[in-house]
Amino acid sequence: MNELRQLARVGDEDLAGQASGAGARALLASIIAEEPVKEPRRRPWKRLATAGVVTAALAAAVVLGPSILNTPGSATSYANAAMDIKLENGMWVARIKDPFADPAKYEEAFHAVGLEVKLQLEPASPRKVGEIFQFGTGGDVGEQTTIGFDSDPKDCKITDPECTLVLTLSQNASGAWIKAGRPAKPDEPYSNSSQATQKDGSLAGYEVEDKQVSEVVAEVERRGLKVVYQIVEPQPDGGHGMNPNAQSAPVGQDWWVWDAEEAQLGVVRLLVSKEHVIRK
Amino acid sequence: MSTQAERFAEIYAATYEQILGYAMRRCEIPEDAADIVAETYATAWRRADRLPDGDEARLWLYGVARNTLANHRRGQLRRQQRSAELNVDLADLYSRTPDSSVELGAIARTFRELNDDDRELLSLVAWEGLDHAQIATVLGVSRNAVRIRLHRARKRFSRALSKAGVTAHNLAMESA
Repeated sequence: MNELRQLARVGDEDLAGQASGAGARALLASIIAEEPVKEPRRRPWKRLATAGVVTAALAAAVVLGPSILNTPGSATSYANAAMDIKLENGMWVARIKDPFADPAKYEEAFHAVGLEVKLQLEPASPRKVGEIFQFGTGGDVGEQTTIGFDSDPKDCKITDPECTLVLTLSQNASGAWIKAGRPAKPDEPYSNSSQATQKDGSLAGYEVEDKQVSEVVAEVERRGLKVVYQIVEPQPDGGHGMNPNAQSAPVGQDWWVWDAEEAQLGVVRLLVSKEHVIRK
Repeated sequence: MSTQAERFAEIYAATYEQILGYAMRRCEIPEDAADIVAETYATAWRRADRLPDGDEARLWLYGVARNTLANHRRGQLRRQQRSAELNVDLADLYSRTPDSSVELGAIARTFRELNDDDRELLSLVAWEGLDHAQIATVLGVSRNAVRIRLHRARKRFSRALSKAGVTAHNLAMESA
């Protein structure tokens, strides 16, 4: 018995023969009927110049006070300084007017339209702004609750005044809790972990793996960034682990770098170990 | 059929069931799984010049499917309807799905409530049976990054299970 494997709806072996089914053949035919024209490059999220710009942009869009006064649960729309929520095409569409607002303000808006939903927006690295980190639903197992998070207009820059984060929820979303990414203020640590060496990352185009701390720090500083460390320690079982409460130990210049993550705006976190661990 | 289309059709036939499995294991309803499969292969066709051969193609397609799924989840309201026949096939497959898979109650709920990155890593190990190097290819990160992230994901999952009062010894969290 293997519980995690059992959670899978199907195994690949259950799908034997599907490739020659009518749906699979129709799909292939429809795809290759078109010329393989290269798709235009999607515009990636741009790094925020400063969070202050975002605050100013969003503040410009703020409408003060509830716009509709109804008893909780009877309204099909509600707005306060933090959020504007409306029922559109059978889905609740919540536009985040102030991503830095007290979460109680979001709850107030949800409550006004009869939804008991908790929304927690956390500082995120630029690539993760507008993404859901975690969510839970109050429904029974098997019941579908739809939760979507996106920018409007699609792929807009959050620094643009017209660019808004929009949460969409199915009408059975009561009981849901959502943690999602908002822009970070300059001194706020990111709550997500994002590799700094990825495209558009702070260390894009640079490999850190299997280099010594001195070499990597030189590159990080050359890019005008600061460094914090997380220490990877050998474990008795032969693996490696990290104790988040013991990260102040001095790190030697001759230690080895495993990875680099975005820590906060202008700061990179290096995952390091004293010993050089040979990759398997 | 052009040479490029023939090559694509071969890769499609060799990987379709695995990509379909990937999508079905991650989508609650058949229409969503059909969208993911259709969009994954449509994207692969648009980038056919970059589609690798052999098993690398499967890993590359998992990566495309993963991005497609993430975009899909970010824009739930924009469902495409490019695959009506596929919807029918998948509706049939979903109806045959045994219910026992959702009876694992607490584990299923705990697993669903992990953050997306942790759940995807553990799924790639348990469901797709990938090793560190293959996962690194799918995610476009280094093997060391995979090792560290898997270690953290397992820890977080174990902690969440303990909190939920579940003792599970046979969770497939190690690479095959």
